[in-house]
Amino acid sequence: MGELDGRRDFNPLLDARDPRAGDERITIALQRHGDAVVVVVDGEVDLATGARMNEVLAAAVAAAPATLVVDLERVSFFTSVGLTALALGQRAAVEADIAFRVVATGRAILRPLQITGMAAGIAIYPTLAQALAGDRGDPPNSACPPQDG
Amino acid sequence: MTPPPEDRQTATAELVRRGIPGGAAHLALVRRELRAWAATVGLSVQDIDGLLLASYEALANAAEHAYSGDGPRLVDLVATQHSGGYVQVVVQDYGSWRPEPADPGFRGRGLVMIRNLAHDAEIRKEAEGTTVVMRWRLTPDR
Repeated sequence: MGELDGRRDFNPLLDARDPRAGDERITIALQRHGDAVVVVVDGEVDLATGARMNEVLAAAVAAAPATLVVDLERVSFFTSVGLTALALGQRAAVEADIAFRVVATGRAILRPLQITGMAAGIAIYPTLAQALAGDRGDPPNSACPPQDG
Repeated sequence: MTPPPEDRQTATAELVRRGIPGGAAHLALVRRELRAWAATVGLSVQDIDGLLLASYEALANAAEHAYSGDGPRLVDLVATQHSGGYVQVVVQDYGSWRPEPADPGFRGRGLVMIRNLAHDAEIRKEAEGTTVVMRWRLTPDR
């Protein structure tokens, strides 16, 4: 499946973005690690850059790997646009039988995930190696109670 | 550009940006200005991060309203440091509030973030627009 479900989640401003403050604030790489695909996000995920994250996650799901890892270690600013991109990516991955994992330890990414309750529904790993191995270890979100949201 | 009288009495530092066009590039620029301002008012590092994120969510929310309906409208942001020991950010738009979607999605998560990141948050939805008032207490002992 190449098209993500849930188009209603997209903010209309993502299509009205101004090129001046967009792509230079974010770098997204798509890497192959064996039967896994790793999406490495570096920079700020907001209204100007969120569409890129959506696009790359959709491409990663379309590649049909066994595991999709989203590495957010180098994200410095993560807004609800990023949370929604992540939720859409996870939904598409689950529907395609792809294991969906996130690498995150920094407050910039963990705080938005935790206060919205999303951390409880996502497999979060402290390192890329652990995410690739599926080794949860001591997940940083273990103390976060599940919430609806 | 003049704050209302009750603000003028207690505000000791402020950042006022009225008529912000709702586009993503403009919001990013305002966030940079707000970051520079927030670093000067005595908030903890964690509260500065929270203020920047919550304010951005409020701006994004307002910009969405501003783009709905009959063409682009403008968004106001007023950030003030009050001698009463708190910092306040007010984001105001003049657009109509859309019905809640079944999936909270982008906007629902933004409002949850605002309520959790600010020490005190009030979201007023009125016929003429939406006002988000967020406050952070200054804690000099930290």
